[in-house]
Amino acid sequence: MTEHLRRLLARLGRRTHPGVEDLIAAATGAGEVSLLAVYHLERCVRCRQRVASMRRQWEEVLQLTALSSEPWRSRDALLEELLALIGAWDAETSAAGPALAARRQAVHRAVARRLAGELEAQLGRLGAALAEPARRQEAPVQAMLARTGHLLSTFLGYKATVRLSQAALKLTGTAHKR
Amino acid sequence: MFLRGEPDSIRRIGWAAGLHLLLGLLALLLWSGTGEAAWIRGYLRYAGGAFVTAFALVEFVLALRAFRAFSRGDALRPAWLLISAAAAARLLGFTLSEVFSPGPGLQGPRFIAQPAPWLPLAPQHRIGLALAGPVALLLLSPALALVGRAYDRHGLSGELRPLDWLALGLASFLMVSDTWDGIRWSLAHEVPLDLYRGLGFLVEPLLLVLLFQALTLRRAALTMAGGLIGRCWSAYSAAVLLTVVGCLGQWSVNYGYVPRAVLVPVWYVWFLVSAAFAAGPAYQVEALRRAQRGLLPPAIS
Repeated sequence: MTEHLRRLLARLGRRTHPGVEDLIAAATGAGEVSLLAVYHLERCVRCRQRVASMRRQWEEVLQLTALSSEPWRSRDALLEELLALIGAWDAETSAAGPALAARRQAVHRAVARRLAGELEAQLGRLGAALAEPARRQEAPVQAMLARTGHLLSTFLGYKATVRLSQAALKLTGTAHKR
Repeated sequence: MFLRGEPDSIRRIGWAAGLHLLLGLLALLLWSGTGEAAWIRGYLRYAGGAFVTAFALVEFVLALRAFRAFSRGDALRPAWLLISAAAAARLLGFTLSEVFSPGPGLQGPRFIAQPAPWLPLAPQHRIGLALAGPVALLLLSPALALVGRAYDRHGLSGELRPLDWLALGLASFLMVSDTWDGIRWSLAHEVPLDLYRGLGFLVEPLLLVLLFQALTLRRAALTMAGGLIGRCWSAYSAAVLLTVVGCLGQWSVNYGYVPRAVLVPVWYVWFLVSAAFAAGPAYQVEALRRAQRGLLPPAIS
């Protein structure tokens, strides 16, 4: 690569923040980072911080596989978790669109599994009993929230229940914009 | 491992209570080994007083945090308000009775008002015992009633089993005996009925009501077994059950039904009562913290 081209890339890279695909590639190592993004990351502290944060999150999800007591050990489950994380990163950059739509079902299942785990932690075996039939429905997250919302609202209060529901719906990309 | 799988706050409460009880056991061994009563007296007066006061503070702070998480119109907001007020009464009561007024030493710690004043007590000690005992119980009872009603509304009310009825019947018999002994003692000693002693007479009937509430609440909480919310109300049930045990133990020794040596384990029951009362709101706060954290692991959210 000539020195002229290198300078041109550096100048361009300074101006344009890379897309989420480049950031994901840089954070996870799963894919090639474009040259422009590499030059940008060398100079942009904010993007470097974001990549570092994404890398930490990625490693945390990968660590889920090591937890023997959690239901994330199967390959499919892990894949759904990773897709859910990528979905969350997509949503952060507001570049979701068709990419997220394609992954929606997997994302829904991943979020539903997490919500079921949370309901069990909060409501014990009652939570597990209420979540299980809902997990098989087409929109499992919404079904779970519908079945447990009133109960959670009584014992945790309205604010905490709304917070939990919003978190679940946001991950599935179905939360109402406020 | 001790308390494995429990939230951090509960583990801390469990460890603190466990270490305190071990310290108590050590004091007891030193007392019986050396014959020097200063060991156990010092433990009850200083470590015991500090423990119940510190745990009442923890209970109050956590109950207040739980209350503040509820909005106006939430079903359990009034219940948490009453629980916070009960915790405040216990904190103020223990501060008055344990910090500002020396305890009676080897007669054992007194953590609840009683109608028969076995020993002369300083006025602030009497006020403290009244606040930490009957006043706190008076506030706790409607709170547990509200929680019971909330369970009922969701069709989760717990039905008492034969064993519960047996426990209730036995406790009723013993508590009626306790009250009757208090009346007899008062008549025999011609002691005037002041506010402190009047509140002391309230303790037994109140505990009976609370015991019924605690047993039904425990059955209801079992429908959520393993969950933080169920464990919160199970902790309150345990606190009430232990209070009943503590009161009955104290009564049986005071009136000479059992030898004084039996009183020793009863001293330690009061520390478990404090730990259970602190564990209740700790579970609720943990449930709220989890719900507010969302669904991702801590580093992601």
